[in-house]
Amino acid sequence: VLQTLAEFLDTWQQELIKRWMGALRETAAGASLSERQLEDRLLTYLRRLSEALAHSDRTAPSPAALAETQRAAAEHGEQRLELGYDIAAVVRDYAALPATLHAFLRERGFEPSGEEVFGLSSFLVEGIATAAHAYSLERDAKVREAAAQHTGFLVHDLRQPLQSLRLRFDLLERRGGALSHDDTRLIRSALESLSDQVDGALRKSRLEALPTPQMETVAVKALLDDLTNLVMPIAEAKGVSISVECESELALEADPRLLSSALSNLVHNGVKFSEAGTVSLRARATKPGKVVFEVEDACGGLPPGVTEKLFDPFVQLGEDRSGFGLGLALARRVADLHGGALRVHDLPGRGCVFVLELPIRHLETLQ
Amino acid sequence: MPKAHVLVVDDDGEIRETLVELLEREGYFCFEAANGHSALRKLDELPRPCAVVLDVQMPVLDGQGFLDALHHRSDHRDFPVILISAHPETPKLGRLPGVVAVLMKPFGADELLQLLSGLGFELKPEVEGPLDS
Repeated sequence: VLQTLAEFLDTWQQELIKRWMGALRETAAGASLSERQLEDRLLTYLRRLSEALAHSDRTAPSPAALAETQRAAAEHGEQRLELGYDIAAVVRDYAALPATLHAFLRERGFEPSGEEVFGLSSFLVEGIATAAHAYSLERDAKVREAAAQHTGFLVHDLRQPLQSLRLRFDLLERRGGALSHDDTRLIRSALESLSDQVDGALRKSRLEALPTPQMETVAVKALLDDLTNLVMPIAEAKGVSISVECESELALEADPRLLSSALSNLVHNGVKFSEAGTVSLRARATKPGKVVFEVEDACGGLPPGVTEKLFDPFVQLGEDRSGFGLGLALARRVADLHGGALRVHDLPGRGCVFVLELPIRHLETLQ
Repeated sequence: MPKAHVLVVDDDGEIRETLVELLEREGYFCFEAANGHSALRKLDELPRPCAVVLDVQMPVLDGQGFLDALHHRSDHRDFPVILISAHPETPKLGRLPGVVAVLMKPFGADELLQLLSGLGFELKPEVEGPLDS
């Protein structure tokens, strides 16, 4: 007969992990992860948790035991960042544990003492705090690194046309006389390149400073139809067809301009990277209170290990380097602004599906 | 004294074109390559000595790859290299064997011409010297 909550956790570890992961699967962030990615660090965390509970006195967790659970939580936070979670999803990982555990304890007829429940929740709160802290430290470091890297690229890309202009100017000064056809061609090309770089940098800073969403009720079917009409000529020219699946009465609260530009980027990308076949645009309501948009393309599948890099500004993985590589970064930013999430599922050999999940009602409206 | 020959290696066609025009105007014989690989393939046909104005970031084979390969040739001293680069880390490459100078882009014509004349190469007889420097 199990005496303590720690014993219970120890004995039912595997079953609990299974149920905990089942609960995580239902979240947007967990939906596209493999079993191993989803489980990573959670089992370690659960083990440390039961050890910590066993070694703590009934009123306060022992510092050493706490440190062990925190280490597992910190690693978990870092791993979740690698997987492209947002910070809310990291917190939800932990929040799903007490709910799962509570249901399971009832099912097994085990009643933990008040002290044990208190101990467990202190560990969990510390776990959440540590994982979120580790996550944010890592993320800040990544943001700084990306910004420095971007500045480096920008400076490099500006130096090339500047070099071209400077040498041409020096040459003209030495040579004198009228501008030749080559002179004007080179100068024009260098100036265009400079303008492009500056426009690109400007677009990136605009992306970071996207406006607060202006929420209104958006009829999804009409939005998707408008979008399809806009992309259709480009798709037809490439021999790609576009299909739309959406219930006519589906609606959500969103900023129609931002939502439309996010979806438009996803559909344009789908068309751009599909050689033939169909780009499918689907929208449906899911419980609890979410709308899921899916844009499935026929790009042939993603190269391994790139699913998260895709969303970084200026990353362009395909052969077609037209545009600035900001589309997916913008789409993810729009998802964030709406309290939603954007992820990609790879369909090896076929294509990929971008999944944009947004709450039907905006948080502020709920309050 | 040897004549003044320069191999200009840069993947940016516009920079290469302008460099060649400038240098030829100043009396240098120029050869061109768009990357380290085609530069290496040209070495055997080049007159000696021949200065190499070498960009660092290039496709196929970059400047560093070219320098590595050059260093393994017994005649590498015939090809003094001036590195030109937009990459902030490039000055470190200045310590590599065979590199006589590093110019950061955007550099001016005078800076390059001064370095080249410092190599002590003789100019073509029909041109007396830099026209206005």
